[in-house]
Amino acid sequence: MRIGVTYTILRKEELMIRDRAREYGEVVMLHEDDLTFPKKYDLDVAIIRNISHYKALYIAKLLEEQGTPTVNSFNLMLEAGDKVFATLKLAKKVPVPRWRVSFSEKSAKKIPEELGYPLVSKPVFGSWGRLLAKINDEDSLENVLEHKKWMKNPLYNIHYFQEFIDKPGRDIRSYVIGGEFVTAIYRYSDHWITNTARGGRAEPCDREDVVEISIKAWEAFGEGALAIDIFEGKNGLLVNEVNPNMEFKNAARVTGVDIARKLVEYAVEVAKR
Amino acid sequence: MPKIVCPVCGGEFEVESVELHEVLECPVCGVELEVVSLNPLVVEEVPEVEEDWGE
Ligand SMILES: [Zn+2]
Repeated sequence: MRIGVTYTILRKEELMIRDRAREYGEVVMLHEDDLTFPKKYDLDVAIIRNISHYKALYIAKLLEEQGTPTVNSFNLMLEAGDKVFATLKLAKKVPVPRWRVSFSEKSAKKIPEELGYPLVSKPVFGSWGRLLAKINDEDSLENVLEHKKWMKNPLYNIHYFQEFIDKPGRDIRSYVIGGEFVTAIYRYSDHWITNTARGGRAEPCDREDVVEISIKAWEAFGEGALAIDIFEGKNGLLVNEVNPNMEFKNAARVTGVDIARKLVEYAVEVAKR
Repeated sequence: MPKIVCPVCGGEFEVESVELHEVLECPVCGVELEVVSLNPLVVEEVPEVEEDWGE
């Protein structure tokens, strides 16, 4: 079994994945500098770990075209990695925060009439809480729209809004791989953005309702390894978003669950299909 | 043991071993450093990378 790992930098996650993968086969580490397509890479499966969402997406597609299955796949990254596409999938299976999308400043300004304030504005791609804005009133909405207008990336001018969920100082991140619930953590923070990358504290989260909603959220996509962000709303759990290219070192540390091994085992299973 | 000088804060620290593209955290200022060359050993601050995905 030849397991490829494509990557940008060797974070703890990539080192853990490499170590685990070595127990299951021969590991081929493929840094971005070493990849050129079209070319046949002799791999039974590739684990895609590039940090840039778009690089990950293109590399998965190029590898799949040469016959190498990927984790996560092009299709999964495309649908789970875009907040609008992911919301469409998720909303069929699980409760999600109320949301709106619009495509012009004019239409975006009408959204508070429907969702009310505060609102959260999110870019349709990206994570670590980047470029998230909490919008409390008309003035701040105008400011955000003005800023987005001057950003070069056309994706920033697809306006995705969610109702603001008043979280109890924490949210939940769970991990589902190949349909199997792996583990979950609470992420605590005084700030409304609770990413551990922003310094949020992590603690294990052991709840049956989290397991249930996480598996349902995974089923909305039906493949791959997903990190799932969950809010505790007033009327129950809500799936905020999913992440198809997961970081997990803090979750692995506080729960003691070997997430890297689960990911590699799943990749091996995909290779055998 | 390889000695590393943090390009951000100038702090010095030692590591057991390093690999190309490995990420190290500067124990002095906490910034993340990527090993961009092994011989000579060169580290650079991990860039505020593109669009990204995280915890
Ligand atoms: Zn430093």
